Amino acid sequence: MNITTDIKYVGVNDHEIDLFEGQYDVPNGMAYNSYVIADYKIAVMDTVDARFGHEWLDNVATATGGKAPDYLVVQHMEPDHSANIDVFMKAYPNATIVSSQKAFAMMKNFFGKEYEDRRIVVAEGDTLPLGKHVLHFVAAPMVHWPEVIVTYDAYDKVLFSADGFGKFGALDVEEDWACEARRYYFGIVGKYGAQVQALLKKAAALDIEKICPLHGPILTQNLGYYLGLYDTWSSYGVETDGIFVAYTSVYGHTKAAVELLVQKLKEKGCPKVSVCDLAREDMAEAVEDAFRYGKLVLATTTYNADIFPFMRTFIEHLVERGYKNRTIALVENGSWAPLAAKVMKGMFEGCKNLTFLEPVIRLTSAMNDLTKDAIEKVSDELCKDYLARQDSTANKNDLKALFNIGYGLYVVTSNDGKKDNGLIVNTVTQVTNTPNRVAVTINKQNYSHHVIKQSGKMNINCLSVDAPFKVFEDFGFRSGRTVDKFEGWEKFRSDNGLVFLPKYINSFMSLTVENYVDLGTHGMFICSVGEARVISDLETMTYTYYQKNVKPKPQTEGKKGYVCKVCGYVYEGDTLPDDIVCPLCKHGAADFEPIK
Amino acid sequence: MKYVCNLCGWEYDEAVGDPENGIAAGTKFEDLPEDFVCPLCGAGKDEFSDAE
Repeated sequence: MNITTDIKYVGVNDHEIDLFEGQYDVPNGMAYNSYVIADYKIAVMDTVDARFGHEWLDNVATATGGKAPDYLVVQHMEPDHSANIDVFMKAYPNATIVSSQKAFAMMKNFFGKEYEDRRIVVAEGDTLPLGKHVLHFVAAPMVHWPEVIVTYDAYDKVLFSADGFGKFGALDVEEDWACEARRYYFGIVGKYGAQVQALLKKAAALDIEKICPLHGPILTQNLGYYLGLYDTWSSYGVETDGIFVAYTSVYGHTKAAVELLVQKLKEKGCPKVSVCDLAREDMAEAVEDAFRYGKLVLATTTYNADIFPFMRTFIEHLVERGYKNRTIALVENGSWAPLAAKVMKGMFEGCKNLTFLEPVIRLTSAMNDLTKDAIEKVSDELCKDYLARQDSTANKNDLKALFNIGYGLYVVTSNDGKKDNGLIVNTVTQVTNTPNRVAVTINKQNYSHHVIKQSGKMNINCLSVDAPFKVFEDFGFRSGRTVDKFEGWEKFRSDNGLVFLPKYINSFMSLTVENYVDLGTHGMFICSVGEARVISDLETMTYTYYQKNVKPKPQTEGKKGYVCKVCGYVYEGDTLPDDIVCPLCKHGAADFEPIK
Repeated sequence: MKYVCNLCGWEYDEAVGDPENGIAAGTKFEDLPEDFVCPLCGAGKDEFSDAE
């Protein structure tokens, strides 16, 4: 088979192998690819598995028209590619082996020799001229072994990618690429996502028209598709929107719960639900699906105070390969002391960015009403986004959407003629830039609103992420009519005479009111910008950041009632009055939530 | 003290450091920056173990 005029395929198909790499079921066999580049000098890329040495040497001889190759380039030392190195060197005693330093050390270990008198040691950036074709070597450490190099032929624009872009399946069988390439990738290369990313970055700088891997078909068209999948896989991204359910079930009860959950997921709009019986189906396919989807359900039995062995093996495969960035729901069964959920969760300790859903779905030998209740809750949670997107199931009146508008936090300073005043608002936006105008909206109940309406000027101080809760206590929860909010604060003044804060801000601007819009409960001041200073490079504190990192946890322990989400004020009582105004921060009922 | 990269086998020798990448000889492993990676294969600090 000719790949280009000078590049010929000399690999072999293997339909005898029972388990590839000693573990993978390969119902469509395996291909060991090798290539001849016949230029002024002749190079052979890699060898094949030990059992096909003769067939391969015949292929090489045919491809070179009987001429002796000059070079054997060894990109990878795993025996399915390196087994025939010595056989080749005996057949062609004048050939030179080209490989990496680490590869030669491995040859010493595998074969007892390292060909010191017939070799060229290459590293990243080295080249091997063959004539028109010049081979450029690129190091690919830990894709998936440390000695690996990949090779770029600048003349035909071919990347010899070693095991990268490989797949299970011999070349004489037609099958979809992605499925077996994914199973291959996550099984064999999956742990080395970071290293594959590094290699993809180097490959992006090359002009590649064809990819010649050591397994699977040569890729000649639509390379963006293959590169895109490799990018998603190696960055642990989610490839397909959907949910993967992996289970073990000894007598069928756990399986019944899984079936009910799967039915609910489909009813609630999940576009794709993949299900796997870990004991009876291909483990490598289960691993592949766990990485393909973004949501995982694990269902198993407590067994020997641990979990059912196939589930243990499955989770070990995931953790070993760096499982991360996904959502996991747990289903456990236990006839006397259920432990499975705790054990499963514990196995993922150390994994980054995994979200475990509550509640755990529990069976006590068989499903009961509590199990079904939990299945309903978990399927709602897993399908939250599908439900929200579907017209028939979406909550179209979910005003919590308003809380997703983002804000910074600002101390607005003013002066009533006698003393300085300040308050905290999030409602500051630039509205135009020719000229620059900023809109500041203040609750009419705040003294500052009255002051600014009369004086027509204010400073806005942008709080940075280092501002402590004290800033909010001093400027946010008290009235400036009665209290000196600046007590204990050093005051700096801008040209307009108003205060700017000595710290905890990254910038401030002096604003002059041009227009006022009466909004009923609030007044919006539309202002021009005068003096403007940048004080530091720290990020502006967002409202979200404040909620997560600055606001102390409210003292709700043992209390019955509601808590203000803005400032932590606790309202004790059975029902929250609709017209309640938080005495500390003036926010309304919408910002209160029940104490759990 | 020596530390080895679990992924590819590269050794970090505290006495030698990694001068090519700006790590002076004598730098203790705990004092290596958080974003230090194995110069051979890019593995992070968390993939290193005691070599002794």
